[in-house]
Amino acid sequence: MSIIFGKLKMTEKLMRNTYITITILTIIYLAALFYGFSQIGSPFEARHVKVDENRVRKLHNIKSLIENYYSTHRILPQNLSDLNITDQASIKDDVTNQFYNYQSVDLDSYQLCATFDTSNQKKDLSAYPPPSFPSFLHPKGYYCSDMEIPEYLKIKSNFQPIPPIQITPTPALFLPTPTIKIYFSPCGKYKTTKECDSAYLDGLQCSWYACKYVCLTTGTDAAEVCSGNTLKVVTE
Amino acid sequence: MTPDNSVSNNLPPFLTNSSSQNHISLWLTFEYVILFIALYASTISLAGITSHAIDQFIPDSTNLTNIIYQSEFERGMLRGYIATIIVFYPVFSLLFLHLKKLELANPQLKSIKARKMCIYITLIVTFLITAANITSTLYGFLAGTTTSNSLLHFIATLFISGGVFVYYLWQVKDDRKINA
Repeated sequence: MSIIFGKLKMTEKLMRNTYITITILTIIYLAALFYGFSQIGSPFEARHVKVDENRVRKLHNIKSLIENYYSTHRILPQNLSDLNITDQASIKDDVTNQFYNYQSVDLDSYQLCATFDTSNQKKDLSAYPPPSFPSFLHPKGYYCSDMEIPEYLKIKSNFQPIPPIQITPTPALFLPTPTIKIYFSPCGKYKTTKECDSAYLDGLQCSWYACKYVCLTTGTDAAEVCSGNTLKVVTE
Repeated sequence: MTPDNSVSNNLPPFLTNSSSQNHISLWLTFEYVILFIALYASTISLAGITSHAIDQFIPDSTNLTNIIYQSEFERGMLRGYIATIIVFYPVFSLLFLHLKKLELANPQLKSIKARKMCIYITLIVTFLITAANITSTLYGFLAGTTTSNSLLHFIATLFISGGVFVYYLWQVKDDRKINA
């Protein structure tokens, strides 16, 4: 009988120790969880950050669309619906389902506005996910970001094809009189490759991208000229 | 949590039913395997969170990794550790208590092959982790790269893996007493 009671006591003691062990472990794990949550923030805050990241991504996409519109029409759109996008959701806020606010400031600058749930302007970047696009640092709340059309697109848009100028050499020279046609072209005097010409003729306007890309295949000189707005001389 | 006084009176009914012994053996094997998987997952996550806390409060001055990238990566890892603990720690603690009750009620359960295998695998793994940790700390000391950060990492790993090792080593010795 005493052996049975002794065994029972031993078993109870071991079980008590087990409960104590598990209690201590649970406290340690709860402390670890508390620390972990304090570091990553609440799931709701993480959700707000994700939504804002998506907003920034969409604004960046709208910026690209506006620049495309500008390079084609040489003017800023009146409003976002002018961009003629089939997927309207890409220019709408996911939460409010409203179009992002857009307003042109002058000929080549504009503002894109959105309401943000969080700020990504914290100085301690290690404590916050780095912004995907540095130009879209934003505070919490309604914020308008000033945007400008890039320089290379401004050059293109200001370029107006100039009709060829007829230069007739002075008769005093008494030389054969070749007709010299001078064209101003964004692709410059080295724009002699068929690729560039065809791009121009195809109505692609031999844009900076197209021309530079194509001309790069012909050599460094061509690429340099493509970046500027230089003369192309054709002698007939 | 209070000790269960009825442990020894609660002999599991399946142990008296010889016809279902095979099924029970498989079920206990399943429980032990899950217990040890939960133990590994919880322990690794606890070690990960502890390591993050050490880096947060006592940063390593010799670490030149990009702070922003590291912070983002570590924050992602931290989320993983938290999720793992939330899922696996309750499984571990409940199974641990349940199996402990069964073992105390019937010490013969301690000789289940799956349990022994899991214990010995755990002993080998924790021994290797502890030994590797001591070796790398000693190497760092000889190379002059020991910092308070690395020392704390060493202590944390030693405490966690060493704790598991010592507990199961004690279990093995206890099992031997019963078998003797």
